[in-house]
Amino acid sequence: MRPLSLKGHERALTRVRFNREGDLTFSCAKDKKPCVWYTENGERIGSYDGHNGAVWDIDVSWDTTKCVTASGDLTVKIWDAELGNCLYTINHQTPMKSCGFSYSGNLVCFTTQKMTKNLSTFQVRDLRDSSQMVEGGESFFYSQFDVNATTALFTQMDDLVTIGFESGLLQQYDLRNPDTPIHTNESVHRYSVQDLQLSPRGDFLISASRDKTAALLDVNDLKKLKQYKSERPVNSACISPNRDHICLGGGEDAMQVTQTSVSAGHFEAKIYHMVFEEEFARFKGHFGPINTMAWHPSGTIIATGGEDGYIRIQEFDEDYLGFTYDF
Amino acid sequence: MTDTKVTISVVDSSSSSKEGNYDEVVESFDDMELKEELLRGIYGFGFEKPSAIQKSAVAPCTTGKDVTIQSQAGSGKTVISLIDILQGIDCEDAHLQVILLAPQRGMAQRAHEQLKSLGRNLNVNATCLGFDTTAENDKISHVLMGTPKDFLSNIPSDTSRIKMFVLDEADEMLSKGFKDQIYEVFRSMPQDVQVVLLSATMPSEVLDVTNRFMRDPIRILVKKDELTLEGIRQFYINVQKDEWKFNCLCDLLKTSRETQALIFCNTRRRVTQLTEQLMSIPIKVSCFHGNMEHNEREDMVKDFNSRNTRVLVTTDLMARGMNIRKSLIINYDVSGNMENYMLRNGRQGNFGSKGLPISFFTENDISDLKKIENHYSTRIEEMPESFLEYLDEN
Repeated sequence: MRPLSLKGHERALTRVRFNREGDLTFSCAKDKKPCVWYTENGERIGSYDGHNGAVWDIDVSWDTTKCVTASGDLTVKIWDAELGNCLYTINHQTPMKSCGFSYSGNLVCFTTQKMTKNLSTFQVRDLRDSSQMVEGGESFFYSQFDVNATTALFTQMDDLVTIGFESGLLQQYDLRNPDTPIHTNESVHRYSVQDLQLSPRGDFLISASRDKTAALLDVNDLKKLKQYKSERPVNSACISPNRDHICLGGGEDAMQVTQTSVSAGHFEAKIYHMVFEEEFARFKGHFGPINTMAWHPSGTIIATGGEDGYIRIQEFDEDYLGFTYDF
Repeated sequence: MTDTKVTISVVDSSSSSKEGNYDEVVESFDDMELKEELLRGIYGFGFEKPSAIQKSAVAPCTTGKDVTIQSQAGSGKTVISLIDILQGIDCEDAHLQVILLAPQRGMAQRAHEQLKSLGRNLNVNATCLGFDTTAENDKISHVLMGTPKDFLSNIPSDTSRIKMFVLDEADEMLSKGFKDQIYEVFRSMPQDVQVVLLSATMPSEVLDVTNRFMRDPIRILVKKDELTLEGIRQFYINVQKDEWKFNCLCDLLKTSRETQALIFCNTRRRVTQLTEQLMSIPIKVSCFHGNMEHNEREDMVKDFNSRNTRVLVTTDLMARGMNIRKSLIINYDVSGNMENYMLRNGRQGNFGSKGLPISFFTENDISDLKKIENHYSTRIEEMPESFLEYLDEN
């Protein structure tokens, strides 16, 4: 199938995700309306209406009954994924930056941005506890930081979470012992961590950073296993579900590009061999930076979301399926 | 207001006005001492960090002094004025306080929508002239936005409390001959009004305005070495005669197969003429003309950006403010304006992609080739046969 180019967002994409089966694609952007699409033909099913600002992140539960969105309008919202109505709204004093479901789908984690006197926070709420889901409810896990927490996700069942920071720091917390991080990595990245994604089998993490690299990390202790170098800041990276391949995408910040002396746009998504850390393929399509990407559970499709407001769904051809890395 | 005529030496004002006089930078929105409700609006809209020009220009604008701001298209200039409008406004004072002029209704409308988004948490009323304003007539607007023509057709009854006057895309407004209308708008305002002028280029008409309307402005201008063509391969073709340009263009489009082409002409008449010639081939063409509404132009850009049409023929003015995908850039007519060469062929801020510029020179304007090379310390080579390999197809 030829690449699909999905146009439904009026502003830059911030997140694309597949549900567990891969038949649906969820997206959000700096406009106010997260969307859901059929992956097969790119048809838009609908949108989730209710946010009043840029939507920075969206996640969908394992059974595709609920989705969660984090927005610059100071709220996180949990939605009925099928019907599109808002089930819960979580309020905060500063914009919400990232959000995600736990393995069971019962817990929601989110990060909030630092603004004036308010510190950045990472929080977790239990959807089953109604006292946490009402207005004024409090999170059962709450951690504050003086540097922005940019992204976070559950990395082991409902117990462990990993947080990426604007400074490049990575920290892992055990929700059962909330006082201090159980693992830290402050050497792998020098600049902001833009994205963290789990490998489908759950044994690796891939982190994307504005230091122009993405790193493969051991999910158990955050130790660096591999690092993939690019020529441009990396906004997002993902791991193939069935081959030893990773993919990354990024580009210069849109507003800074007139002041750099770089010689090319480099808006391609690039595929590297996971073990040998070498780029062996790339595909084009966006005419601006790639802000987010996800690898489809089939292993043969990658979705990318760009600064240009488009989602591209790229299916690989027979050459990729038959490709073996020569070493 | 006393209409005082002041004669200033053109050489002196030209040389001093061409350089900035302010170089402080504020690195984050948090540190700009903005109202908290405004900060929440900024972050809510999806801005996280200020762009380079915003770091330089937001703070001086809030001082109440006159400010001239130059920055490339797509680098966030308009947002600077919107932030400063919202910072300076007194929402409880039910008077008109700010006038913002833009060269096109579409630009004024976009600024209006952004102002409403950024000011969501403030109790601000803004009106965009030329659109349906009946719903808002019962409330006094704090901010009035529109083109000079729309403004002069709807002069507000009370301008005594206006404290800020914004000229957005001033170079385009002035090149369209709005100078006298702008002056007429200006005269209706109090003498001590703050003037904020935003422009991508600084031609002499803009400098005239800064001298006449502004008192000792803070000037935040792009340093010459930041206007970069670095890394962009530029080619020229010596077509020798103007009447041979079209055949040369056809050969070029044939050779480049399905590559999209953005074609610049110097006048609207040339755009119309070239479009008719291309459609007789036929080639799927989008083109702008002067009678076209802003929305129609945006639709054409969408068609072009989505690859529904292969060729977009335009002038510098019509392309202003549009986020147009750049692959092949053909300067069918060579612009005599040095800044326009940069705007046509340089990187566009919103998306950062770069195209491959090819300029058609004739015997009459081949000398401009050397001028451009010297001005930007860049190199424009004769187009090789294999020019397609330099195309960064994205």
